[in-house]
Amino acid sequence: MQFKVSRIYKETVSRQLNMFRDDGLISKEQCDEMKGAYVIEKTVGVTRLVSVVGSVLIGLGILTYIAGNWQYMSPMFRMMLIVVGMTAFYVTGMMLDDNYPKTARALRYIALFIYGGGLFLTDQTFHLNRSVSWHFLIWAVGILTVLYFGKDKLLLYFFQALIIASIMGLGDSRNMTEFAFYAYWFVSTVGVVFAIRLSEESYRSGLAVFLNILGLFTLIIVMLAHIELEFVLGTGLILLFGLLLLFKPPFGTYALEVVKQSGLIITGFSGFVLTFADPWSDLMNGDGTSVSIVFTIILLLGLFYLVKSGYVGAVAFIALVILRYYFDTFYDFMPKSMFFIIGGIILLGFGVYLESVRRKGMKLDA
Amino acid sequence: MLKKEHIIIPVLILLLGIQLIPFAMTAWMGESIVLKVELYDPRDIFRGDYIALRFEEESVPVENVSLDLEQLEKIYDKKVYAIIKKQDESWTVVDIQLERPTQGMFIESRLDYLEYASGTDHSPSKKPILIHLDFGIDRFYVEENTGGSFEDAARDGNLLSELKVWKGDVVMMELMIED
Repeated sequence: MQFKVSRIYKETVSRQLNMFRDDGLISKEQCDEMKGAYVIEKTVGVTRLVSVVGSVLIGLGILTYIAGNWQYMSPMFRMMLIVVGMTAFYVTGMMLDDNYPKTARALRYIALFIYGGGLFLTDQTFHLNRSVSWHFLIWAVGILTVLYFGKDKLLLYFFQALIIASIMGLGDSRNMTEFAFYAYWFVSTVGVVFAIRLSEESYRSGLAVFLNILGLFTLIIVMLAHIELEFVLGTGLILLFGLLLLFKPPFGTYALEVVKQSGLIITGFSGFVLTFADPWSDLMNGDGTSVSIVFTIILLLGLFYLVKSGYVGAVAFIALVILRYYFDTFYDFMPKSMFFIIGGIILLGFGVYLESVRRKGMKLDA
Repeated sequence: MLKKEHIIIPVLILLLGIQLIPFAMTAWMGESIVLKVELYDPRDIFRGDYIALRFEEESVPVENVSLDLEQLEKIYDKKVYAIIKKQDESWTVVDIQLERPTQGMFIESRLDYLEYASGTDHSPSKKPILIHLDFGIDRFYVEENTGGSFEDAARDGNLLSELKVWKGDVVMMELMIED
């Protein structure tokens, strides 16, 4: 048995153990054995700290020099600088792997940032106006090759974030041909699938699962916006996506709580949006009020069912729906003071309800 | 494991290369031309300040072009080739072709839209007067907050751009203010 402790902690424990030994409570051997169980955790030494700060300063110096003279460098020289800088950082990182694993990782990250920055700087150098999505995507591909050689949670998150950024960039697809849009969308989908597989197989982290959900969500939204699907149908699809996460999570079963809560938020919000009559009126080319009310009743029943099954958060959406009906219906008719008092009472009522549901949940847990 | 990781460097360089080689080649091998510039001026969070611009030569009078009207309306948003020639000291688009030329100077462009006698509304009675091309270069990155003098020059019609043209590809090299 070994405990990793700080130097001060070990000194305190040693002093106390010496006292037990002197009182004859434990033998000298036992005392030494116990002391041996406490290992001083290696902390960052002064030398190490100084060298890290030193290299950061040198790095900053080089960077500011480059930034200051960037305009005067020829395009070829700029590109050479990016390639050489990236290679130098990466190779140094690989060489330091055995002795300074953390520094090695940091150097790899710098190399990958230079690589990503380089993608954008190509545009700046040759005065191009290419889609930002494209750069994020190529950046993500670079990160993926690094992930292939070693597990690194931070890089996985970064890969996921880049894919999401790339998909979001697609939202601004005015300068893009139809073919290009679908091609990007397809490749981004492949990226999200990769991220899901990676996190299922070797990472199993809650944040990775959340980013995967966000990735799928943006994929759906961007496509719906592009094909300009009828609002009700689009929101309905998103609601179905939320329900899928809630009741039949296709992935992320090791972080079920993350999946289910995301599912609840997606379902709740898309449901809330559909309680308004206007989108239904647009869909039916007529008055959609009655349909929206039927939908609201079904939604509320569903939300109550969710509360019963332990999703306390669903209460918030029930409150949201009821308050919005209250506001839309009574704001114009009631005296303002009365309006706000009743609104407050409704909210307080939900507070009490929420508390009781939470207590019940705690009893169930116990 | 460690050895194999070396493969990453060539992969990253290759990916970077795919992004830049066509443009680097044009900048290196291309022939210089100078065109007149019109502009407006925004900013990009990832790539810094830039001047958004278009070229006078991107608007071509219909009568200069050998394509007939029916053909023109069919190729909306498609790839076309702008044939350029130096006439009286300035470079001009002298024709637009659908097939890639085998010789001479040309710019691979997109047919952006057709301008009709009154606005861009299309009706059978109207005939297009101008063909608006898109050379695919519409911004010039500058040092932050230095776009001003270029804007003034453009307003007076004195802004020129040096471009390199190579096998139909174009790269913008410089913005110049005409004296």
